[in-house]
Amino acid sequence: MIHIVTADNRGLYAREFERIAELLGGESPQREGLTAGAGSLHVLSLDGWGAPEFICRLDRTDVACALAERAPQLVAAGAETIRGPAVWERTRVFAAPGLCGPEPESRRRCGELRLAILEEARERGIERIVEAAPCNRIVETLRCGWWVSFLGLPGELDGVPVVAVEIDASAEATADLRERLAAGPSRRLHLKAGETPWSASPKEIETFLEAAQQLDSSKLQPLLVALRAAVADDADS
Amino acid sequence: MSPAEAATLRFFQDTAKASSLEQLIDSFGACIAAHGFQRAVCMRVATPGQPVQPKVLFDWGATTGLGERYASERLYRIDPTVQAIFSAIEPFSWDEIEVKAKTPEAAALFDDLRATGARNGLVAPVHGPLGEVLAVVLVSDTEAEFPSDVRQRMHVAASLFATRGLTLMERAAEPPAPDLTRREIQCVYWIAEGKSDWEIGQILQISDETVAWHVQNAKKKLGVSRRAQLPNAAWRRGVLLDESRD
Repeated sequence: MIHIVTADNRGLYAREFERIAELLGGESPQREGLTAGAGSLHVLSLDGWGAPEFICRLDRTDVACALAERAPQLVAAGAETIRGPAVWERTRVFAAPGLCGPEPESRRRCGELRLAILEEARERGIERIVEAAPCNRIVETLRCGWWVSFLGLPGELDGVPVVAVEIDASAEATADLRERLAAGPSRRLHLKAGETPWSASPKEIETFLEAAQQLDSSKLQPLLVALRAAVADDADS
Repeated sequence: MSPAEAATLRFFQDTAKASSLEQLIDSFGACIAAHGFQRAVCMRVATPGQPVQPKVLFDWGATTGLGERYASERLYRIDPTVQAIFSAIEPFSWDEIEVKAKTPEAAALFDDLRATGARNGLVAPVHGPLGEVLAVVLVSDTEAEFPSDVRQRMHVAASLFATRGLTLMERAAEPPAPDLTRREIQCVYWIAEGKSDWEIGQILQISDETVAWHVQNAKKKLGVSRRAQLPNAAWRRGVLLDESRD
């Protein structure tokens, strides 16, 4: 499942964000970006062991925009054309090496992450997403199923050759990606702080929900009873 | 904005509108000509699971007999450019790679190129998401060096050229037909099996953009708006679906 992390539920993901900070290390821009503002949203995916395997940050560009503020020359039509309440900027993208290959499982999971970003954008009234895409990974961006167009000429941002691109987040683009991936129901998970049971970790909740989806109600009830009993035993001991 | 920068932006915009490989090649030619290049070649260097046998897919500008000799004598076996493409993630020039030529025969390749009038070349590696390796070789008869801004522009332009050109080339190989074509039938078959576009592309050995194009054509011909409706619509039409990959 794909976790949507906002200011409201970020406290549930403290351990995961610490782990990402350790992975990124030092004073990298990505690490500084983890202490995001109230309007920021993170899309997070955890591997089978609960470790972060993908994260990216999305900010409304009328609030903050790294492209407009630090590299406006990369937007040919002018930096103001990418600022607005219906535009997100995607930054601080981290993907674990295991997610970055041509293997079928990696490809499927990357497709689901991209679809989740578009679906979340649609729900929040976002019409387009901009980002500074690294030039040496531009083919992946062009072939990922997103509808991508270029905003300007390539240049350097923090010493890295990048090119500003715009990702179409319209209903047509989202439906097209959903079709091309032959995707099932949305895999997004919006955990609410204060409603999660027995201080379970996000991965534990995700695992439980995925298992519950595959069980019919006759098996789900006994499972819930057994889990409650186990938690009560833990609490007593 | 310089003419070269304007030409690059124009190419970026033209790529989305190009409906044929010829249009794309002409547009790319105008872009690289503004940067001092006179010829370009897009090569498929390697495909996962297959022997390395570089092959020219499409080109722009005057070609020389060297291309035929390169293929017939399999000169790619000694060409240090081909070896460098696999590990390079940014464009490199012939000058930079020539110093790594290990044998006199390999060094002679660059002499042969210069004998055709070329002064220097820029090689832009294009690494596909499924492990395929392509390269766009840009040849200049006038420029000896390529500054970093030119390399960055050519890297992005070459990636667009190779990616979009491959899709247009695959589409051109399919003649238009009023009934479902063989490829369209194959795509509908695998949709019925629950496959995504890129999975179908891997099965049929075509790009996922080409798969999406076949699916769009099949939807129009069968009069449906959603992909999931294709198998039933094909069945009602009496189309026999099978998985033959021929």
